[in-house]
This record gives sequence, structure tokens and C-alpha cells, in this order.
Amino acid sequence: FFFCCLRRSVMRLEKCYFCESTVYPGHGICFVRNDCKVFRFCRSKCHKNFKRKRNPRKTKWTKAYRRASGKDMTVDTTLEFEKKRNRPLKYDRELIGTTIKAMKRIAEIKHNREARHIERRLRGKKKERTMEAIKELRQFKHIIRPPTATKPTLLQIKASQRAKRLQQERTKKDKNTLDDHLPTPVQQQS
Amino acid sequence: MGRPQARSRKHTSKDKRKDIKTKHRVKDLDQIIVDLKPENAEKLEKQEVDPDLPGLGQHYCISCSRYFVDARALSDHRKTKIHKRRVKALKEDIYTGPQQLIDNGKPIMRDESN
Repeated sequence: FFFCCLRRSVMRLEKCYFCESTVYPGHGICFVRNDCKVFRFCRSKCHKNFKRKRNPRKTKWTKAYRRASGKDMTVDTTLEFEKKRNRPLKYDRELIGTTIKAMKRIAEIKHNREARHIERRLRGKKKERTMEAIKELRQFKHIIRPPTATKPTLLQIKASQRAKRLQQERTKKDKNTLDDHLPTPVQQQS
Repeated sequence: MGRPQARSRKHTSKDKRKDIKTKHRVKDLDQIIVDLKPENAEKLEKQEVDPDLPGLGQHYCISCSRYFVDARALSDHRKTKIHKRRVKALKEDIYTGPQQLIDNGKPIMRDESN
């Protein structure tokens, strides 16, 4: 017998082992180790770094480093979709169609979330720090006041003034309630 | 003429040396982790006499994947910083690649799939 195998070459976008960027067909180098593990590299830079046995988690420009140091988003539901599964699926045209649509949408969402993650990281903690400082001041302002001072602090003066003002308003209000019962003079334009 | 200049290795970088070539390749950390498993470690510590290897292959440091000439060399090696660094590195989380697999890549047989 002579079996003619029609092998269709499947194009697949791989991830570079070192920097995790996409390796397009026709690019990069693929290294197969003695234990049959396949390493793909997008360019000679990554390949050379790999040969020098550098750890991608410590090489600053790689995705592995950025994830390990929290610079890029690590935990997200959109990243779950990128996981490879070894389960073979029966070909279903509709499924393929919906998958392609979903892929586009998920990519959008993922992109936005990653951008937001970086934004949040770069925003800094200035606002949070000032709020914390205000809170702390309010809590311990009685300590800040020197114990030997006999003069009232500005805050105390203002507080007493405010109390006086409120009391005056209250007394005014009490006087006004009597007037409320009388009919208000309505100016009629003749 | 004067004597030839002694070749100094002061300004050569380790990375430029020939040991980076694939034919001089040494085991990767993820391979060594497999070696360190008790079933494999047993075999590696008691290897057959191999005349091609230094020390006939009898003195092997698993974490550094290196053969030594005699037991003393091996014990001296175990005190070195390089060895200690390697042991420490092996305890850390090792980078296995970008591919994330569902169920840790366990292959699912066709019979199991719907």
C-alpha cells in the first residue's frame, strides 16, 4: 500500500519562551532539547539570552519579569481564555464563529484592563497619603497641642465662635417661630 | 624581541566564551528539578563506571549537574558559593515558559471528551 498523506500546514502564532512576544511564521528559532521540550524564540536576542541561561523572571524587558514584579496585570479572568487546553474539540462551525467574535471582544477588554492596571500603578499614592495624614492629625491633634499652653488654640477659638453663632441662630429661630403664626404681609400690586 | 604578552583574562566576559555554544550546553534548572526527585536522584548518585567522564562518573553533583574527579573535589565543591547559589535558585519558583495550560497540561484522552 502507498498512503498519501495530505498534510495541511497549520499556521500557529507561538509565544517566545523568553520574552513572551508573538512569534510569527517565518520568524525566530525553535530549539528542541534532549527531553523533547520545545523552546521558541522570537529573535536572536532572546535566543542568546536563553543560551546564557538568564532567568526571564529577572530580565527586565521580558513579560515574565513584568508579571513577576507586578508591573503588568497577572490575575484576571480574561487571561484564563488564553490558556491552552489539550482537549481536542469536535469541529463545530458555529462554535468557531462565536469563538472568533469572542476573541476580539476579549482582546479589547484585556487591553483596557491592562491599561488601567498600569495607570493605577503610575498614579501613585499621593492622594491616599494626604488622606491618611489628615486622618492622623484629627486623631492626635490633642497631642500636638503643647501641654503648658494656656491660650486657646485657633481651632478652639473657632469652635467656640461656631458654637456661639449656632446658639444665636437658634435663638433667632425661636423668635421667628412666633412671627410665623402671623400672616406674612403680601404686597399686592394694584 | 620581548616575551609574548601573557594573555590576561581580566576583560573577557563570561558570556562570550565558547561554553555558550549548544554543543557545550549544560542542564537547565527545570531539568535539574526533575533530577532532584528521589527516584532519579538515586540513579544519579550511583552511576555506572564511565571512563569518559571525569572521576569515572562516580562523583556527581546533581544540583550543578557536574562530575568531579574524586570525592574530595565534590565535597570541596559543595562548600563553594556557586553550589550554594544553585541550591538556593532551585528552591525558588522556576520559569517554565509562557504557555499556561489548563489542568497543568494533563492530556485528556479522546474517550473522555464529549
